[in-house]
Amino acid sequence: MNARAELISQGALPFLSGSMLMAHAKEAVKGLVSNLQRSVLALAGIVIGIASVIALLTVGNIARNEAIKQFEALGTDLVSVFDVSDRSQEERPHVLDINHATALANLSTIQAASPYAYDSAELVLGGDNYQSFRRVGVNEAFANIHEMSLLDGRFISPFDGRRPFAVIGSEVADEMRSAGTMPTVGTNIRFGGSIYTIVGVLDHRASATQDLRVERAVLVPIQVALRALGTRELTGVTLRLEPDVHYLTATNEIQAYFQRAAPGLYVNVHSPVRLIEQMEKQMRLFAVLLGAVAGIALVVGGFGIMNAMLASVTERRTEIGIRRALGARQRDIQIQFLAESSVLCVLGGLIGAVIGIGATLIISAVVGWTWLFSVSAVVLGVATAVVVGLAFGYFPARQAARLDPITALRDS
Amino acid sequence: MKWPGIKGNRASSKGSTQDHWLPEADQPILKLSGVSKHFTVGPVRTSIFHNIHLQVNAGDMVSIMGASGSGKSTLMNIMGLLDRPSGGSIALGGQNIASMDDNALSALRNRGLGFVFQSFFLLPRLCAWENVALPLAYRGAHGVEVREQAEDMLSKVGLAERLAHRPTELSGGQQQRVAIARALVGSPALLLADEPTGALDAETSREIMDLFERLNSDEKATLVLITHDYAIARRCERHLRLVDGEIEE
Repeated sequence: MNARAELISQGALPFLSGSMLMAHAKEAVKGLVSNLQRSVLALAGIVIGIASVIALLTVGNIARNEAIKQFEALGTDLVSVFDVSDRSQEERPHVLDINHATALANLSTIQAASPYAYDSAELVLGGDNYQSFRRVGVNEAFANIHEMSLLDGRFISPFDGRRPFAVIGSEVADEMRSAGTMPTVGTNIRFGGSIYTIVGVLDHRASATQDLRVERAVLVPIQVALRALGTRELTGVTLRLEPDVHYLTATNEIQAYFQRAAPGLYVNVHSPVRLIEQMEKQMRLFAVLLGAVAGIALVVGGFGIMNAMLASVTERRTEIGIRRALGARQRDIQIQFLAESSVLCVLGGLIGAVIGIGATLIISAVVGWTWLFSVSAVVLGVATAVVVGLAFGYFPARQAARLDPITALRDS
Repeated sequence: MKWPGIKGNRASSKGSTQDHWLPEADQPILKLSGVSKHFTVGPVRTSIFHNIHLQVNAGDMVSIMGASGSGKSTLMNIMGLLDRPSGGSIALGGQNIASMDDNALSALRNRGLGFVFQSFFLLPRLCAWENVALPLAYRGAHGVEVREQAEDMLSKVGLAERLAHRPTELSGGQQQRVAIARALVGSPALLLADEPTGALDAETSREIMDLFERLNSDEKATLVLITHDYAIARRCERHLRLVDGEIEE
């Protein structure tokens, strides 16, 4: 007897080797094929479980990426400053105004500042025909910060001062066109009780942050808008950070500036990065929740496997008795049945993975998301399948191993 | 765990598939001393046999006869290390099995014993050679060598043409030959056959007995046959009877 065989037979080495595993796997496949119907039914639970794990995790992943993409489109190097002071006070020593915007632009972490203020106003399209659009007061930095592109004309310039010039959004232009007015540079429009001269028309691709729907807005010089609004208070200031500056560093500097220059004025600094971080936190929570739901499906599948394996053990008592008579140890029997449940679960895992990935492809196509292959979801899914196979196969395998060979043979 | 019976007197071998267990020198293959067996169901204790003394030596061909319910099969299970006696001691090749655990007994069954059952007990999913190769697999032996050895053994029992047939594709006699090949493939010291011809017709029974005789005379196989058929029993050189729980020679 060679040394290894002796060690194996003495129990010093596990009764497992590459060839032994192959032999067990082959035996397991034969065992499963011999009772195909039951195997398929047992498989169904695991397939559904794994498919849901993979589909839910992958969809969660894709959804997160989509959301991040949207936030990133807002500009990860931008922050917005809003006044959140208590407005019930009659006398407020400081309000967020254009001077603050100018000062903010000079901070070390800030590259450019774009103050803005808006309201709604009626645009006269001719006769009784008028429509409500947003009047947004901006300065020249707005175009650069939000990467505006123009179809015609130019953007608001620092030389416009208080002159009633306007840059109109693409939908405003469309409305004018359908009302019979050509939205060309030089055209005068009646908007919110004032006359404005169009100096530029935005491209339909132009979009900006927050609630500024520039396609349905008429952009005017900030001074003009503030006068129309009858205030010096800005709605907010959008800031572009210097390259490689973290939003928290900038936030600290901004807050410090307001504490110093405008005590009593409280501002919030919003950052898409912060939103992304918050969302990722929520998504992680969501993933745990989805994982738990899928986990329940897997446990149900696991019980299906256990049931099938118990039936298999009962059915194959004679076989167990024969094997024991031929020299199989309890451990050999246990490994044999564990191999069957594991093969069943790995097979279920692979089929489940294919179905799960297929489901995410369909969902992505329907919703219009960019499909992403989540390696971690597939690895997790299949690994879980193996764990489920071993965990739920353990009890039936133990039962098979502990079967008294005499009883097993006598029953037949 | 000490490996029973192998230490010091192992046959030299070329590979793991050739390994087999040999009894210690000058020791009987099997020795039952004062063996008894009883079952207790509730308050009732039923004695199957008591104080059985039995010795099987190398090269013996022994038959054990007895009426239905006389405890023949229980005796065979005890001799085959599948069951433990209620009293007395059993020594296989000079090794007392009393203190052996399940792993050691399994290994001893695998290397020291070969079983032939009345209803053949072949695994239906496996073909003839795979069935025969099973005892070798439980020694950790695999590969081409195992297959060759199983096929050689099937050829010896006259089934060279049926290597890849499944049990359902074989006649009763052929199935029993596969079972005999499986019992012999590991070169056991003792072959135990429980009613080996019980499920076969007269002609096939005679063929199987011819095979046993040939194995005993040519291969020096040691055989214990349990039967209720006198025609089978008288072909063995030693005849034992299990009567009223006692062995008569």
